[in-house]
Amino acid sequence: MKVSFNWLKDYIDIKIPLPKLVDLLTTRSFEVATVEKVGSDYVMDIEVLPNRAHDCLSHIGVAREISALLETKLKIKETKVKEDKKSSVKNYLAIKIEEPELCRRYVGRVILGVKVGPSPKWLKDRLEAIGQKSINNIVDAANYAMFEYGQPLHVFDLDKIESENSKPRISKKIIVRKAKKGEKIITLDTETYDLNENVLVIADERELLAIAGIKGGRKAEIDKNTKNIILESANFEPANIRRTSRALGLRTESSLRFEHEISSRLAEVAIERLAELIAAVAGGKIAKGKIDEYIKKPIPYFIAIRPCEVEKILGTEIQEKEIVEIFKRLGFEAKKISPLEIIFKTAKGLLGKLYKYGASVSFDAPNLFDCSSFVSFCFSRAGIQLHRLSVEQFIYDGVAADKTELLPGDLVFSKGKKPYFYKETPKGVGHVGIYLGNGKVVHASSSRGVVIEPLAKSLAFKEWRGAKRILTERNDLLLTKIPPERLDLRIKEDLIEEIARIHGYENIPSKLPLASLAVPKRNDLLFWERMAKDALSGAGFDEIYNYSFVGEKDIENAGFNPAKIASLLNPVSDEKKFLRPALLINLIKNVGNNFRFFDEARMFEIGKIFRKNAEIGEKRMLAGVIAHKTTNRKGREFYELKGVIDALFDGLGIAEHWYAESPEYVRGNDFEPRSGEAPRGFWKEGGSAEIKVGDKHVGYLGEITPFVLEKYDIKTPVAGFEIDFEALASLAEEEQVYYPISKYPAIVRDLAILLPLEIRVEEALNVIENVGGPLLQDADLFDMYEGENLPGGMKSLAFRLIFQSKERTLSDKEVGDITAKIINAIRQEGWEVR
Amino acid sequence: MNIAELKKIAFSEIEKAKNPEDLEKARKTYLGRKGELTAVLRSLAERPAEEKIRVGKEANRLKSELETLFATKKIAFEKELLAVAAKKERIDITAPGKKVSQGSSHPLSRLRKEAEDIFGSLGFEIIEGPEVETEYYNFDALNIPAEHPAREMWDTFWLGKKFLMRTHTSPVQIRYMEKHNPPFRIIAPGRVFRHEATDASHEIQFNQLEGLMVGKDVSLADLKGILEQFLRRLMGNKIEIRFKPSYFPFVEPGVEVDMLWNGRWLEMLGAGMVHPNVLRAGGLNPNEWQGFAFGVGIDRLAMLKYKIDDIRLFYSGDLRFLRQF
Repeated sequence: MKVSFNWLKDYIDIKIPLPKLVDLLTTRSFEVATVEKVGSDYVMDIEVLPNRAHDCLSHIGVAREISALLETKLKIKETKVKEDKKSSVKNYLAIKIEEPELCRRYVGRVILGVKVGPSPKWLKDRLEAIGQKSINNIVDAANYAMFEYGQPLHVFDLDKIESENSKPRISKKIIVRKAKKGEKIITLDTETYDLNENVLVIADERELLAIAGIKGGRKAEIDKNTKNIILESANFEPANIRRTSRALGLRTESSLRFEHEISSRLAEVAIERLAELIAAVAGGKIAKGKIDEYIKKPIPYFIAIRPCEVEKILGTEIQEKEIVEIFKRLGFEAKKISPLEIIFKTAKGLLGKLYKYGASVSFDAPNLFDCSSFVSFCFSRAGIQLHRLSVEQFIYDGVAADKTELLPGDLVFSKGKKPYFYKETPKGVGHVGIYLGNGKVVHASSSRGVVIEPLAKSLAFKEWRGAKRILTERNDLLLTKIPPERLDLRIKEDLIEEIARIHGYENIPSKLPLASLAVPKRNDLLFWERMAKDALSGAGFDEIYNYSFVGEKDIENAGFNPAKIASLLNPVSDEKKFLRPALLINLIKNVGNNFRFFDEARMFEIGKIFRKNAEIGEKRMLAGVIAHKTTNRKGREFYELKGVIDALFDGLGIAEHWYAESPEYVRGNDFEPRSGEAPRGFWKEGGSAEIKVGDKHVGYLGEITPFVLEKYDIKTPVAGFEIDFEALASLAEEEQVYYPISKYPAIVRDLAILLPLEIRVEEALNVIENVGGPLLQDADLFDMYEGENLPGGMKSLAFRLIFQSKERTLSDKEVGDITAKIINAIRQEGWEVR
Repeated sequence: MNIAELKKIAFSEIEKAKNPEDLEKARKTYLGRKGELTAVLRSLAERPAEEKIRVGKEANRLKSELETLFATKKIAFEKELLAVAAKKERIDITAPGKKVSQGSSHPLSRLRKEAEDIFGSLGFEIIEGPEVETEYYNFDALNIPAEHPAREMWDTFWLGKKFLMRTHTSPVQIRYMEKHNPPFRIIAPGRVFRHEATDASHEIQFNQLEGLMVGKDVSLADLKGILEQFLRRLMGNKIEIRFKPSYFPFVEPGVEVDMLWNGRWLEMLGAGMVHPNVLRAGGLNPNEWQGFAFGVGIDRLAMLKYKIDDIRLFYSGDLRFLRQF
């Protein structure tokens, strides 16, 4: 909010230089975003915190805050309204509130014979300094009073207001009601709005005059011929104003203040100021009296606090004397009280008051009560806030007390007529009273109102449920009366914040908490995530963080059905509309983008993917890609990536993983790319595999089909993998077991086999290992060749066989015998040993 | 031959040696197993006592002199060899080293790891929560009811009536409190989302690190201490922090934490004492337990620490940027 320094000085003497004030405001109250010189004035842009919008969206509000900071008294001039004794407001104005829940107060005044014209210079200057356009003296006065007090105000041209019968009548009626479906209003800025039954409006007997609390209509607009006017100063329910303002896309200085809720006390103060101002700048006679429909008059609010509670939260001692001093600076009345005394005095003063189920503590008290509002009200007078419902009081407030050891002031609970069955109260709790001592209880009985009776004989407490002790410490409390405009102060923690900031956060010394020296439990998933990241960056992979979103095109390109993918209701763009169903989609895009600057890309990402089934599920995946701008060898990327996965799984201590070349890759599970759903696959057929550990599926590895790649302008093969990282982490094994190194030498034999192209390496290995026996320690493929010098349809595989025993040195003959057996088995397969 | 003569001849022969082989030959002639000086030393036993002492002394002195001389001369020859080799096999130390294929780790991962390790060393456990959240955990349970104007502080991506992309990591507070008994201290790092226009300092997704410590008397002063430790260890000992009044519905008192960085106060994080309503929503009794909570932007810390001027780079997948880390 823009605040003029000159304007502030009307209400408070500021003896410190402006930069000091700015600093003080920033560290004690609100951030001052900018300070701007406007003519002879300085204008601060103050970022009033949302919880202080109740009381600080005004110059007086900010001045009040500064007065607390500087310990300087406010000097607000008393408003003096000179009424014209000969005319009475009642002859000109009647107000009817049809929606008491939405309009808590409506104050109206009438001024006759004003002269509309330009505003005087001082008024213009003040408004223009804070960025407001001057319109005419009447409208400017209303705006001025709003920026002064924070109370939105409105002025209608009395003569433009119509009555039911078309005959002009001097007395006008203003109605606060909900709009009818299809009703329209043209606002002051000549925009037309279609309204509905949720919108609160101000109307005369025929037409709409304003959207309540948001914007005035053209109908009763002040113009240069306006003579007689009606001043409106009202208080509207915040949530409704907010909803309407959002629905209509219409945010005004008025709606801003109402939607944050302001004190209804202001309505009266501000209308007096407005009347005074208009009389000063536009003349006219102020009709005697005002109409004040005050539907919901709140009762004063109290919060009790103990200095030790302040110390406990802040971690530093603040003397009671200083607390009282801080409260005084903030304008809170504070006194030491005995809570029990106040509670009992309040309770006894309410004997005989009538019962109303669901009575409100703020508005029905002190005339109507139900059992829990009675208890809440009595405690609230001592500044102690209890929950609203008896069952909540039973569960949340205070500590449990034993029936045989009740103390005065304990809450006593029974089943009651309308019990609540919460999970903590399977037998139902529905009635509450206050134990007075000497076996007596005071409570609001549904049939007799507030009564005192012996607890043992009370029918209401026959079905006993327990007792709670609220006043665990019997010592005195500091009872603080909260000023009506401070709607942000409702619990003692709110007061502690006030104490802390006025005391100064910089005066709270930092310390380290006292806590047990416990080693934090390891987060296994994160532990394995770090291991995997290290393994992959060790293998030359760059780590990527992509958006969690992809576009509809991407979804289709990758072969997903968009209907099955979770999407945002309010995306920022079409490209980021869907929640990514696979990490690879964005990684493939990364390949295309980086090929503009690099010839090769190895990238990975660990992150969440999302799928929509009954609900939206999410899963952490690990995906990676390898691509070269120019590539020559068939399967180069695939084999590189496979080697990386092997190393990764090794690093994670997963030994038993294998690759299934199966058509199952089109099956997938809920979280992986499925090509079966699309006309073309995502994974290249004959170039991809399922990764398994034992019989558990953990992911896929393979080349991406060129049809997907070409969408991203990639012309060479890209191999990728996408692994269910949560499954992987659950299989990972940290322990390493050492196998003793054999003392006896190993004997190595190389073996090249010529076999048909379609035979897979694993099948050849199986043949070797089946007859190799325990002395064949290892058989590694070290060369694979398909090419010109071989007979058609054939390839060559070269294996290195390693023989070793743990017990003895092997003889050449032994090894020769095993090798011969292997060669024999190979020949039986119809393959050739070269 | 007496010792003096032997010395003269030996010295001149060493002097004349042109290469290591000559030198070795000379060494053998005098000091070898059958060498002349060795022979003298061996013959000592047969000599009369008086002569034994005199000749023995001289012979031993000569032996040591010769050994030193041989060693010096040998080093001189080796140095010559090295000088020749240095010329022939010279390495151009300014030529680039052979590239080791090592991938980069994302700057946000690096920062997160550092932050996690600092808090880990302070006894904080690392907890994670879902990125798709319910309205309840993201708002209601955090003391931000539906009609509360404060909801506008978080521009939200909605997925449906009750589901959304979490706008902060704070829901983890509730999820954790529901299942664990105090005292505890946790951090919850993770990705969060905001529906907003992007620019150099705003993104629709970023990373936060939530902290929560609950105990019998965990206080605001403790919060200040922990955050001071954290920021100093992460950003350097020179930094200072200050608390400013602020407002977040889930804490009371609520503060904004500024960090003094290169002479300027920068807003770093929001924090405060956990609001009683939030403790209650987590199933804890506020009369019994209290604690602090904070949330810090990982991206912002990384931007300061690595002098990155555009948040969007983190999510660009641009290897020109990432390979610098």
